[in-house]
Amino acid sequence: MASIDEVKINVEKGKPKWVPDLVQKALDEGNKAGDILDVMVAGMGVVGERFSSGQIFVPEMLMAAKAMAKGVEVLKPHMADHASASLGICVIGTVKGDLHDIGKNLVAMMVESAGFTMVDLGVDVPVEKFIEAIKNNKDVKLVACSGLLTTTKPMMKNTVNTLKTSGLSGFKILVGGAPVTQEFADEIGADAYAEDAGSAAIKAKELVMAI
Amino acid sequence: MNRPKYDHVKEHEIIGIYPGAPSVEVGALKGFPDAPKFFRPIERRENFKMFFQDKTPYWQPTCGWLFCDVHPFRPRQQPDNFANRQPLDGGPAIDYKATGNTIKGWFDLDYQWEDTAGGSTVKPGLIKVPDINKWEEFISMPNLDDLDWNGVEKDNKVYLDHDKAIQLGIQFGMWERLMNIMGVSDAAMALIDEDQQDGVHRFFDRLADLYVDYIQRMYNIVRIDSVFFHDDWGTHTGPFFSLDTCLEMIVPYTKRVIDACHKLDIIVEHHCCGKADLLVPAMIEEGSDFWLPQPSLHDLDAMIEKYNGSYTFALGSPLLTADMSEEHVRKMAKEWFEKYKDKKVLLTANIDPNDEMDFMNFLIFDDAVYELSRLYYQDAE
Repeated sequence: MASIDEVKINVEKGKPKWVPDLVQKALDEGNKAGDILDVMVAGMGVVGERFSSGQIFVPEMLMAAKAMAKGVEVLKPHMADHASASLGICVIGTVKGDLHDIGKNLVAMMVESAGFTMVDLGVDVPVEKFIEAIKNNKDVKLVACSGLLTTTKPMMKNTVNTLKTSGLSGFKILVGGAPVTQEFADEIGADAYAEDAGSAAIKAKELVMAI
Repeated sequence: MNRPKYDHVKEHEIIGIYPGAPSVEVGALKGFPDAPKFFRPIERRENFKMFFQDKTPYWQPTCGWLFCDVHPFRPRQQPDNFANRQPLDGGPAIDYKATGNTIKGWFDLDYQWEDTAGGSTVKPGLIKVPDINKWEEFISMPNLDDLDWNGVEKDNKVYLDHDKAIQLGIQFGMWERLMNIMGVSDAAMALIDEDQQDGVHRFFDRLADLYVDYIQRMYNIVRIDSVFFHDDWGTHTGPFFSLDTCLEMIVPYTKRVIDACHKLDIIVEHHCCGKADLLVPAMIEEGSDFWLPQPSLHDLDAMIEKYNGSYTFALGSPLLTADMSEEHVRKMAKEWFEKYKDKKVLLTANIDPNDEMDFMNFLIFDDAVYELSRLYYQDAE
């Protein structure tokens, strides 16, 4: 089996110990860095589908994301223009009043693995901080808002509303979290809703392609 | 011996109070109120225990925190209870403005209170153990000799002096404790990473010892009928981890704690938020006695049918909103009881945070189910 194929398989299996050497081997065999990155992104796509369908769980998905991150570290010096390989910047955060970061972190990893550069604002993020991040980073294509608590749904609504009326443009808004539904996302004017981290990565790509 | 026939007047007679807990804060609730004590033909804890001994209870057993057969007990002397603003005990009211929003629990962890959520969490970003293989270098097991056991006994003489089943709460089970010390992502990976699993096993092994010792010491000084073992295994869409991972990494240790409880005739509730029906086989394997699945996330009837008495579920009542009439609520209670009276389930108030549950209407529902079940079971041996 060619090393580049092994890279994909070991990303899917979540083997951070093996992926860096396999990436190096694939480079040594003459594969282009961009092609190796593509197979890792494809591997993470498979991981996302398996997670969404309940075949794998949070630990397996995290290990896969870690494996990919380790592979990317090896690739970085070989990427002529790493930024150009990015689908753009995704600003992500859990909305103000909510300290939960599990779902937000999973989404960040999966969206990053799909090819975005992440700006993670953490938890308890006021809308002003989202706006500041959009202003301070060129090429923000996506803003992802997370929330676990029913009590912070009004804050998510406020965040989306403020971003939409801020005069800033060029980005789409993705929302998700336990109390969030497609209906709620539609009601507050978000551009998309994702049920889990795997589908968030797919939605993120779809949204950016549509810009 | 024949059971006394249901006496509507006598069994609505208030004969005392169950003491509230002034210092607990959960969600929008600040302190639990005193609750009326009605006459019952046997002690409520006895009825609760009969249910788990496969005997026909005198009435439909109920569980939960308020207005049920269970009386939650989480003494403030255990630091996690204090740090999470969940002292369910008989001590004086605590002024949380004076204590501040960040309080230390076991393992020297800072817990931060969030008003909007009405709950605490480990301070975001705090990673106490960066390498689980070396956890002993970063944390040490709490010394139970340091707890103010005399204070526990002294504070709770009245709080625990009644007929309800006293339920000792353990705030963090194996998985939650691992998350607390490592952060969620690293903890999740440690469960399946062969390079970290030895460290996890070593930590859980000591943690199980700690909990067994804690429960035993508590049992030695106050009456404990049940343990509430809090370990959230579910997210809103499914389990955090696979059944295989759970069986391999977590169950051996929860089973040890639960076995120790059973030796003391203590009933164990495995508290688990999130969607976790795929992990019921792990709950059976660990030996816990019941679980309250979140009603909105599970097909409870399908689960009851699937497990067919091999595991006990606590069912949330139907959603009872403030606009419902008493007549309507009693009709719903009758339908509920007819459906579940022979299914060996527990009843509790529907507490789904997404729902607008009206507790006054739950009291009517609970009263109706009590009456129906007393009449239904009164001729049992």
